[in-house]
Amino acid sequence: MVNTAIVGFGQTDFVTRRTDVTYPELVREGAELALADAGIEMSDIEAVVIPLAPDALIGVGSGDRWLAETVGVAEKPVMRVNTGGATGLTAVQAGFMHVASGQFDLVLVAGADRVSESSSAQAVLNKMWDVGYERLYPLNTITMLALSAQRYMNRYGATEEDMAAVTVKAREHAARNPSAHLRAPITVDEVLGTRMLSWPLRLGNLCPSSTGAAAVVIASERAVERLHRPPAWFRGVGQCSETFWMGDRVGPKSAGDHADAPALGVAIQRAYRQAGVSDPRRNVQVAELYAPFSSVELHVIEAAALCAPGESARRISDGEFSLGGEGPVVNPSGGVLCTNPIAVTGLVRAGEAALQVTGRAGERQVPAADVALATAIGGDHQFYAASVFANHLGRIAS
Amino acid sequence: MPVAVTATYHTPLKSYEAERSLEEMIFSAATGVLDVASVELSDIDAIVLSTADQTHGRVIESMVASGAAGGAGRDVTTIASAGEHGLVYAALRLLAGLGDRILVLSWGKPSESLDPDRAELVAAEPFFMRPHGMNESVAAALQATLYTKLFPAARDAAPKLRDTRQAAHEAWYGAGALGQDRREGQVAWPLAADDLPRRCDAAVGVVLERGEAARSSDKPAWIRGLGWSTEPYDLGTRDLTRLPALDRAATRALGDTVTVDQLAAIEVTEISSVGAFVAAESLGVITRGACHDLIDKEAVNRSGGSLPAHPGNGSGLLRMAYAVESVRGSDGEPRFALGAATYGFAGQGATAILFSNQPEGT
Repeated sequence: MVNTAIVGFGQTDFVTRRTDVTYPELVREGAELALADAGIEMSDIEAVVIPLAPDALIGVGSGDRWLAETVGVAEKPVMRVNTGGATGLTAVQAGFMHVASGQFDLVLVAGADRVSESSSAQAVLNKMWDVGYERLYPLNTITMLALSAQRYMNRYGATEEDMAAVTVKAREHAARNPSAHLRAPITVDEVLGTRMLSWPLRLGNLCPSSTGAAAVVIASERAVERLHRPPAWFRGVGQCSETFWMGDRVGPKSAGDHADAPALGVAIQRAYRQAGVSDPRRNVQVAELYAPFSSVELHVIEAAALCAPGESARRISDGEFSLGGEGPVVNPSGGVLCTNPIAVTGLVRAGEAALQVTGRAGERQVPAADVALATAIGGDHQFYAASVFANHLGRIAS
Repeated sequence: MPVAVTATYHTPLKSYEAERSLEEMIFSAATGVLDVASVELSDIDAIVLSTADQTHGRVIESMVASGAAGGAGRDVTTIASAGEHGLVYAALRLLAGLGDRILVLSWGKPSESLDPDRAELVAAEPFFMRPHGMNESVAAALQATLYTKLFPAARDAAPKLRDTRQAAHEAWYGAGALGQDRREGQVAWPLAADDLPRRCDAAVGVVLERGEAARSSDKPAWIRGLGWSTEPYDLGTRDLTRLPALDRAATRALGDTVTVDQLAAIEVTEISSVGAFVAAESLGVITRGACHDLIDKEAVNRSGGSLPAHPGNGSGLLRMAYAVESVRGSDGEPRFALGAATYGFAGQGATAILFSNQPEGT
């Protein structure tokens, strides 16, 4: 396997709506930022991977084909990845495969999303369930994860205040991230005062519908030496999937429990094993974990083995997982809870992880960050991806 | 490349698969190809799916497909640009050393769609192309219009090629295998219904292995070259009488290994009876405008190709599977086959994979 690294990352400022650009023009903005960060031109890029999750959100089928000349990828090998919300990180992993295979030296992974372009993102997302059974309930990502939050509360005794505290932490972090969509500080009482959408989830527990673009440049070790840019080395990649059926997430015959994210735990452990991470709390300094709702962050921290199941709420209230707190910092960028441009949300996790391990994260920089974990979740909590990045190729285990 | 396809399988090609749901078709393809490979699902390191959300009405089609493919509890990736890209991605992954055996699945069930043409229309951007009614058929017709204007001989050669492909298809599958009569009527001038790929339902599965796993398998088809490329999206900026993306993909796949004339078989997407000539020129099978020469090229689309049977997004992987089967199990001298597939309006994107019964260095 060829040693492979992220050498460039770019992201636009994320907002609710952009009417000044088309989808291809938006992708181009993110691509140009990443290329500039890597110090190269589009002509240097040998292959391209496009993350694009539900076509319906941008209203164009196979939208990856539309951007060919605008982004400048025509005449290059181009491939599109779609694993729902996990798409952005899966696409980064696909870019990694392009380079690690020895077939390419410089690959661009570039995408964008315009979630507010659809009249109702939740109406679109309801259509991802089976037409004959679960679509009819009606499920959407809010009601789906409300069920998970209820299970978590029942199993581990978490409260609505615990979930609100996650939002408070995320906003404090996002205030330091100029690209984040929601940056205004918020209190627990303010979160608890927001509109109830599906118990126990209130508006303040949810991510925004974001519009924006992001891209990374991935390079072989040979290209890294040539570019003289600080590399964030891929040290481990893992994926795992759960059942599609919500009805199979609980009960005596279920493979796991909807309170937790067992398949995410498997994906992360695969990445940890490849990277040589044996003690995540000591080996990993930063975790950019895909958590679109505050309830989700509680169980993904546990799936990452940053604490035991059921412990995350207490630890967050003790100030852990925060910038300036003890142990690994979770989502110093503000995370998905503050910015969710679906197709590139997972890509931003990888980009933020790369910024952290290369010491370029500005006000949100975690001190002495050598190793970072990035994760993403797609479908109805079905597709999971995890990647470990480090600023060196040496031994990670403590 | 130390990577080989060791098994292929597809469900019966049918104009309307009434017996099985899409999920059941995917399950059949998955279990079928694992049977051919003589491996269990537990032997598979990863699953790569290729989906087409609009045609089948699922917002994220891989969600419903994953379980049918055996994906629950497993490593699943979805490549959504083209069916054949799933095979390319799987090869890249094995070359990167992540796993030894990957299951690749792609499919099309256009009969589930009330109006596949309308689903294709959504793939046209909303400002210019969509108001003009752009879809695959209209794009193919624009290409055919330009090509026949340049090379009027194509008007005479196209019906002959169409009949040759239909005869090959019937020889391969048996007459009436699709369960559908030949179609009639003009679709988009100058193309009639029979000049365009006939939609059908099918799911396709391929098992890809590397290293010792591949060497120890029965009759591997080694991947000797990989290429894929794209063209601009805007039809007005392209010379539709040429397919440079296919040219680039094939050039990269063939490399210095073999010339087109040395290929025992070529399976290539033909987006219309006229577009077939454009594709053949881009591959170097015929010279520019020599349309009649393609009709007698026995190595090209022995299966009949995509004109008589086109399972949508699964069509590209089907081309690859047929190319694989044309070299698998052949003993003795090295034998090569090229799988070539195009996708998008008038073949915007293209993929080519060179297969051989012999691994590199033999």
